[in-house]
Amino acid sequence: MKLLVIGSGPTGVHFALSALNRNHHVTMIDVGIQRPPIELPDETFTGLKRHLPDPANYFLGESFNAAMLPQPDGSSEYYGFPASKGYVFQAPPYFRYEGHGFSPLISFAAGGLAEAWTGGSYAFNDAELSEFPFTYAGLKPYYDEVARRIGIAGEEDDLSVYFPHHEHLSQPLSLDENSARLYRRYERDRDALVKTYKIRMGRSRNAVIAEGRDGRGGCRYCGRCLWGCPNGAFYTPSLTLSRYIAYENFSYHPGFFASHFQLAADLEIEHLVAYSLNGGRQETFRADAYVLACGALSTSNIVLRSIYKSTGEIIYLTGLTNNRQVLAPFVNLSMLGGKYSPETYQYHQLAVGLDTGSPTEYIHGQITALKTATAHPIVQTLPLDLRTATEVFSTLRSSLALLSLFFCDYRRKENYLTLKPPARNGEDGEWPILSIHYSPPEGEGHTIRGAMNKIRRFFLALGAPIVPGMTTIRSIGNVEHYSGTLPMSRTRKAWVLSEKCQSYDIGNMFVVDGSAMPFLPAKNLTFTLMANAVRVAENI
Amino acid sequence: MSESVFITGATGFIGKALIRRLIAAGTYSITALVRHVPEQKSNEPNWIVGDLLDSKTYQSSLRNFDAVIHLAATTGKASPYEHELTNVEGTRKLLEAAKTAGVQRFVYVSTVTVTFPDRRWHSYARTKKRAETLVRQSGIPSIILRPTIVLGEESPIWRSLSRIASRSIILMPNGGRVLVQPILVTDLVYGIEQALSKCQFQGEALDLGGPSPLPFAEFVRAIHRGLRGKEPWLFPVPLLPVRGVLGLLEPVARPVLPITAGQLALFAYNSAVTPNWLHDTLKGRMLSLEETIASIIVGTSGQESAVTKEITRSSSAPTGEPSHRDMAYVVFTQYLTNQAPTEYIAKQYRMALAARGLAKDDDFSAFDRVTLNLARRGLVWTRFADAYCAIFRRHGALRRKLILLMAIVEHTPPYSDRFDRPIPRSVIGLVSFLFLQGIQFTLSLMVGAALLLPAHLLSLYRSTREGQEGIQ
Repeated sequence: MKLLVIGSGPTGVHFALSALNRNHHVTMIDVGIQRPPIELPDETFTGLKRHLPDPANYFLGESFNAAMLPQPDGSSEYYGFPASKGYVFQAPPYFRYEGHGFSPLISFAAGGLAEAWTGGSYAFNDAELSEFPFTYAGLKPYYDEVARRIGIAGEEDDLSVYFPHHEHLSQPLSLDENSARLYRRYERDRDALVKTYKIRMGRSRNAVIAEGRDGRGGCRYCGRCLWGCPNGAFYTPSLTLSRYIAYENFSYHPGFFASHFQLAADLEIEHLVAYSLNGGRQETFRADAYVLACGALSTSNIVLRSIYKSTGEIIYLTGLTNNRQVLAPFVNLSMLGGKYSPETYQYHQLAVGLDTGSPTEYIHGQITALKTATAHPIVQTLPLDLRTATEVFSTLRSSLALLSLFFCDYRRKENYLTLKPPARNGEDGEWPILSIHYSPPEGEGHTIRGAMNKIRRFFLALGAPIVPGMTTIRSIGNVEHYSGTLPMSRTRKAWVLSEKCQSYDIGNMFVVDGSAMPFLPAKNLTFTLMANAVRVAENI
Repeated sequence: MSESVFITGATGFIGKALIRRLIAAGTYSITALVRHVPEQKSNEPNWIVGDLLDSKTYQSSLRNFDAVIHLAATTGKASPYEHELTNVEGTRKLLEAAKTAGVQRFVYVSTVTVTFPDRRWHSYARTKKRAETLVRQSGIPSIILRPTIVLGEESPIWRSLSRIASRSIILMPNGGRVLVQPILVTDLVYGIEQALSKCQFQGEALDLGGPSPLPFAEFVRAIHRGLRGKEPWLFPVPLLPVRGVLGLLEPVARPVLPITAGQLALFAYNSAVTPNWLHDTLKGRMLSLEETIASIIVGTSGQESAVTKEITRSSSAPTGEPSHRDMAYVVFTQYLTNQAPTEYIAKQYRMALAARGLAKDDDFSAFDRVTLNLARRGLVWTRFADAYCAIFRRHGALRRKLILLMAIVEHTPPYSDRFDRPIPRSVIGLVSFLFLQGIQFTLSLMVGAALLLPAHLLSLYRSTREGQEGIQ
């Protein structure tokens, strides 16, 4: 079968890889902005600072955009995306949107937003999959396959009660000192802590390999994770993409912005219309089946535009979901006065799970000890003059860490994507723009407060108090877990997908990205998206 | 054919610059007498490990040299005995060895202070004077060079002067009326090289100084302007009683005294250059004093003057802002890191300000301009202004500028150490350190509030009124 895959993110590449293995012909198109060459790949993080001829340019970017300055509205972020990941967030002029209660991150990079992910890979359990048209047993073989492909470091521990078992969990990385001490303290007092707070701690499950394989190096603990792993130890989809370019039945066409499908009267796709980023030339791509894998926002945009183009109708795709994230910095007192060690794995190494009584509403937390992260965004959050704040920060640096908590989200009809009608009807270029609407669930504040109260006491008991007044609730959109707008459903209705992720409305269209999720658990969704994309490819 | 030169004092401030100069000239084969071999990056110079006072350690090596440049000396707060030992006895030993080896050219780098009429309290000048006599009497064809105040990033006197001159209130012995004529070290070593190639070596003594003399007070003012971007307050103090007291205390209390009676001689006598042909050859290449000071502050003084001229001019010209605003980054970098900025930091900061729309004061609110003007006055003022803004003006222009600079320095060694390498402390040490930091901040905040609150309230009142008028 001839398959046209739109998007080269995590779902696109794993769908394509499975389809190619089953001898389908796969054409992939995307904008495909490439990662720039890696600077001084053998250097460690500190070596980079020392040996780059122009370190400020590397770390802050040409236009110094990676310098985080205080915003007039008082909002602050503890970290920004580094300049070396700037390519991930470049967008072509064709993609236009407006957000209401939603400020999305958009990526048109080869590999998609996951080029800047932090690697958390957790399988959903039966409770979390209860809205899906299959159970964990139905998805497990594909979790196994993705784990085998990308390499997931982790181990069976207390959190296994929340993370169902899958194969190919590989050896976890060495813990940094801060995380190690915290974990030892937890293990010492485990029974009492779990009983009192109903919070468990364990190792994070990360898409990173400790030992090199398949042309990827093992983690060197060089401290450069945030700026882009220099030896492929940390998984990003572009690694897979660069791998199967060699397949004979695969052709990859970067440099195209997929605009819409030309639909026949029965709403079957005739072809895809795409614009070349090199001059704006319009091209058409034909296939037996069309697979949308460009992320919930872009996928929905293409569907909305296709309907608008062929019927003039502006429809609504409801049920946009996203995880609320709460960031809580804490001080691990046992590390006070300790040494800060930049040569470590930089992303989260520990995870916590909060039992809320309802298994679907499990709250997921990830703990990232502060290591090589940029100092100035953190220093400026302290209510002190910057000199004092720097002293305080560097004195406490080795003991600082950040807990990020994720909350699940249900599909609600008041959250939707649609098109905003153009100012005047007319030619291409006067397209309506994507309009994103989101409002948080009622009672969200109560849920967050309840969780934070427990978390605060739990961390205090661990000798790692959460810093008062510094917990921030990140605005919706800042977590790139957009999903739910074209969900899989057991029952057929308008704008849902079959169990095989095939659209009921547009017959030869498949959707394998986050749009297809009928429910968004608290756990990072990417692993499940990849597994689901493989499942669809195996059954197409 | 290259000329072989033997240098003493090669690891000192002038010595290092001289070696760089001679290596760059490319026509010298350089050998330096050192006590320990320094860490070396290139093949030049050759090192001879020895002791100036023990001529056996270098006697045999001296045989093959065309010229000796004698820079080694004991300076500063050393005791008269130490001055005597190195400056007189050391020179005597070297001259004897050079004579035996048949050296045909001897350059002695002395000091303009030997011309001071009264060298009673000034053992350095006294011993250098006696060494000059030894050089003249040695019978070796020689020349004596007498530099004035020598400036450069590593210059000991620059370090002391810039520390003193950065204060808002500066005590000026004798009102700073005496004339000085400071010279940049790169110009001095150029002069030494010229002397080496062009002199007759008939024992003449030539002064080497900057382009023109000026009163000491003006010199200090220029440094203060360079560092802080404004005029200092100079308070004249009588010199004689101070020197007298110091002279009495010195025999016992020298190590703890901030300055010696001898060093204060600089405030008692003119140290301007007596015009001579060698000094004239330097004049055309030298920067003005303001430019010299700016080049030292931004760390480009080690480069050749022609280049330096270009850099200092291009860095101050295009913005068209008053120079004190340009220099604010010097204060800000010192405030954030305790270190002076390099030209790299200066350049990045300028580019960053432009890129992030923070380059022009006119774009800021009136109160933001007040906070910036206060902060630019110097380190303590930056602290007061920043402490106030940390609470009451968190997204203001001052903090945005400082944070932008912080983003640059935290990624640039060696400044990054301040963020990466905290001083290890015990838990008690750490708690008391944080407590003291808290107190310091509170005090700064109080002073900052006293200075800025009225202006802030006024600006708030004005903007409210303008807002109301707008509505009406």
